[in-house]
Amino acid sequence: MLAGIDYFVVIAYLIGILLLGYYFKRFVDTSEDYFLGGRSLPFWAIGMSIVVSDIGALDFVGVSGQAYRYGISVGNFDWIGSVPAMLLAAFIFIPYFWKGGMYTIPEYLGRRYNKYVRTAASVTWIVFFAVDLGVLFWASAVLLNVLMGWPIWLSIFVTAAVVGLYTYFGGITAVVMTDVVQLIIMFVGGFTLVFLSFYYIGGWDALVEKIYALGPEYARHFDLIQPSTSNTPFPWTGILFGLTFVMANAYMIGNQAIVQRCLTAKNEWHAKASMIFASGLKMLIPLLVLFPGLVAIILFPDLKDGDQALPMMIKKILPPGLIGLMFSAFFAGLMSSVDSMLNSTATLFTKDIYQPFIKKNAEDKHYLLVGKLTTLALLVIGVATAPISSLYPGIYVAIQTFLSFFQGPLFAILLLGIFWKRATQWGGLSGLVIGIAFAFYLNLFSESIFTIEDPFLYVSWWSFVLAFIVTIVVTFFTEPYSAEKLDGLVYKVHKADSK
Amino acid sequence: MTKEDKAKEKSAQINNALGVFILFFGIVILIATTHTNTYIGEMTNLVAGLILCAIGAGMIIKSWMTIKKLKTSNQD
Repeated sequence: MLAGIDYFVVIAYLIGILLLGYYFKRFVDTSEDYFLGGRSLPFWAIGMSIVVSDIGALDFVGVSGQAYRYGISVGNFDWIGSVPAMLLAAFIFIPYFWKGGMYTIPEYLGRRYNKYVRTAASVTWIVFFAVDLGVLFWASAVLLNVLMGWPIWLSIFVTAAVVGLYTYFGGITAVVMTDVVQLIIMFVGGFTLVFLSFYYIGGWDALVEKIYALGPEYARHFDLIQPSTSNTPFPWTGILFGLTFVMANAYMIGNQAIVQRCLTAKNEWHAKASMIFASGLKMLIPLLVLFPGLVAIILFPDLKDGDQALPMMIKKILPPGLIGLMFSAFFAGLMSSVDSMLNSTATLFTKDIYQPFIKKNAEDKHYLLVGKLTTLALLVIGVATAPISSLYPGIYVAIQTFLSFFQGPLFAILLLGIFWKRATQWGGLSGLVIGIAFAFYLNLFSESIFTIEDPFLYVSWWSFVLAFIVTIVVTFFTEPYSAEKLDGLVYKVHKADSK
Repeated sequence: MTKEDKAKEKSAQINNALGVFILFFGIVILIATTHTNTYIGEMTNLVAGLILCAIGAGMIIKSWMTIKKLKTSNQD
């Protein structure tokens, strides 16, 4: 359990972040303020927010857990699995989304293909975020349970109350700015943990030697590239085809929670710069999360759940005060992922479902209220679905598996949509629907189709390939749009081309 | 006040709030040095606390300077 000063820090952090989020209420007058921060945010804040939203749940708890189980190969997710995709997003995709004045990725797909594609993509993201919220609430509960000794359900309710309130009041400005604080504290605490981990274990060489000495099952723990026959979730074939080609690009280019942040930028330059700045910060993340996971193998060799590795390390190594702060930041990282999902889902529902189908041409205040009420409704769904993630071997695997149901097909039509002017509305719709159906099939029958334990990388790759082919084939049998209609939506296509 | 000045003022107000938050936790970590039993623990809290205080104070000072500059230019 924590010392008195640590309890004070955790409680003060929770109250402080709530007040900070509430303070940003003063900047919310319109729905554009709520969903896009009035398009006035600077690149550094957006870049930090992109990173902390991503690493909140995925890296700190989950990647440390995976490093504990499988070694450093999980670091590929932040290096090769993020940086190239972020640069591609910055230079090619983000400028189109920003210049188009869009709120959501499905909005782009709707303009590029048709309203059915927009609705299908939007509903898919909403369902994913709703389920993912449950996973993140569960992750928070595991943390609070280990460090504070609070019961799981109490932890879930505390998280939901704090995050829900500041997101409800402050919208995306509160989301981005609380992320800035969280990243600064996370980096200070994280690097301190890495430094002390090495201090206690005796340095890098001692760490390698001690882990190899544990037995042959640890022989590949320091291999960044795993063979294709590896039974870990990270064989090189999956990393290259599933992660680098598909999931990373789909995540950085087609993920509403990520892209929406860039759309809050004050101008196009800031939108691009935010993603480039984020890619620089992202390269540091594996240093923060892998090493504590590896050191935990020596200090806590018998952990049943790898996701407990990092909380145990914090408790064992950091001094009082910093334990509380690190845990707060760690917890705040999870809150950051939750607030991103809440705000993004509210945006998707309000802009892609409510506004076009339920109530067109209402006053702006009405849509602002709908966005806020959607945030509250999602909190309830997230809390109710939290126990689902306990069925998976780790938080990270749970999230990646959920993503693999649709990331590949969505990215396929996004890629063809922006780079191939011939791609037609029916090609895009067919590719999306058939690709998602195929991903469902692969996930449902994964045990008989794949030899590895968690084949989400392969599912993403093959569903991407099928969606890509289907879109192309159907396109050749259907009528394309004119260049005029595609102006500003397709790479290097302008109105002048139609004349 | 122009639209650009308003955006700058908003940005400064946000930075001020963030700076106060970070400075507060920097001070708490410095206080926690007195609750630490080991030398390495004390040094860790001291360095981490000072870094947080420096970042927080830097943000507050920068935002104050921006707000002051905006007020002065508007009076002119």
